Amino acid sequence: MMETANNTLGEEFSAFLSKKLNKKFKLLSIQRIFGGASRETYRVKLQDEEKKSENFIYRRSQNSSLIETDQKTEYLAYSDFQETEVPVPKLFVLEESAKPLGAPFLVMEELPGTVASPFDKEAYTPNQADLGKKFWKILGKIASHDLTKSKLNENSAKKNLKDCWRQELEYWVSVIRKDSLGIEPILEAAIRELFRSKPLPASRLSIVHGDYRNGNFLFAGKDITGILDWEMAHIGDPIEDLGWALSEIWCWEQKETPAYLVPRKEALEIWTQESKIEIDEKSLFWWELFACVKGLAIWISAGHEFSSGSNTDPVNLFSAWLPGDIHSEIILNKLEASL
Amino acid sequence: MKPEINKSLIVLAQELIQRFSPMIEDEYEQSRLNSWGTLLLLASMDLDRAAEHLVEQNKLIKAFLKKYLEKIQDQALSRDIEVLINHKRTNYDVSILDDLNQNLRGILVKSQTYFEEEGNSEALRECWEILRIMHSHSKMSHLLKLLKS
Repeated sequence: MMETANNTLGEEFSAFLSKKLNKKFKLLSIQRIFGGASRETYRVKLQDEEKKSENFIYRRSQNSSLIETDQKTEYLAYSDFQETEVPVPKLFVLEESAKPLGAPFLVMEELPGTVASPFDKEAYTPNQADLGKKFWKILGKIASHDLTKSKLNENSAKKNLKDCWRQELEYWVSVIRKDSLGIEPILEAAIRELFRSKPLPASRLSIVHGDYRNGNFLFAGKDITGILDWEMAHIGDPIEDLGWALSEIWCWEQKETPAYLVPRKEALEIWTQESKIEIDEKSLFWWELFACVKGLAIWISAGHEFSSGSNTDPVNLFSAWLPGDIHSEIILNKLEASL
Repeated sequence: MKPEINKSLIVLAQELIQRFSPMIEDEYEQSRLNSWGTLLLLASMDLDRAAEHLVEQNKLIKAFLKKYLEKIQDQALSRDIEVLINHKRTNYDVSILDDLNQNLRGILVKSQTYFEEEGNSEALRECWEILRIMHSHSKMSHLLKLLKS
């Protein structure tokens, strides 16, 4: 039954792409990829008239998605890094209307490599040192990317150095207020602390990936072959991405080795060298605390999707239970220690 | 005596993961069923002590509020605290205990905010101790290893 539904989707996709790329594709296979809750992602294998097979990634918006962003944001962010040193897949199509295939979607090339679970501390062994250098260097490149030619910047609301932290914080607090199923005193304490102790103004405005972490990149041996999942990309303080990527949630079983790659000190040195941005320790603390609040907003939103019945994917229940618990504990440790 | 619900759920989770999941060919559907099995396992662990945890949390918050009531000059907040600390438990249904717990959490947030503004470090320290105990009741992070296996 499920196979039939997927095949219908694959045939429709094949017909659409044939017309769009002026080729004559035949569907070989379609497979949904497990894990993402913000999009339905499929790996589609097509064959052209010369019997050559091509693999595509087909990302469809869900009726209800964990993080409500439009496909255009992700498309623009990927566009900004085409043919740069930040590895991203080649883009083929952005369809913003639900008319052709029932939901807006993006089509990209399938890059080689594997995605690891962010909770698997052995995922990158034995290549963690090489991958770590590349991971933090790429983040530095994203932070220092020239915004004057950025399509994402062109299509974003204007931000300023002084207040970009506030816009992000207010946005995620509004998600919490909308979707919360109960009162979380630890989270509330973090929100109060963030409003009380603002960070220094951003040293520059940058493209912020929004979910840069282990688990959101493809790797093959010692190489990072693709940076994925740009749906939360926006313009803001580059330290925001740093705070998110450094978060202990992504290295819970080895806390001094963020993303289970290289030690924290080394990660910061690589990033600073590449981005040419100086890190203020207090501001970094603020953005790491912010990462917990943003994370909890996402996990609360997932729990709400599950509870309301609008998306009963087990990923949503898992997100509400386990990552939510870890982010609360990180807040607890940070704020209790600062008493 | 009948088999306990939480133990039965553990067996069900094991059946899903070990017996039924390998029969599914579609990779996505198989991963989805495995996730359900794991979540069921986590839920079964929580089930046995859910009521006890809520009772303990409610007791802790009430004792804290009672101890610091006289330090609170905000009359509206004091009134709300008095109502809640005098609330008598009607039964041990988890839903009833949870309702009371939510009300107590709400007042705890207000009281913590009040003590932050007043700079009452002793009350704040005690408050964080309670939050740590409450967090330990819902803690799942130590189960990461189980999830991987």
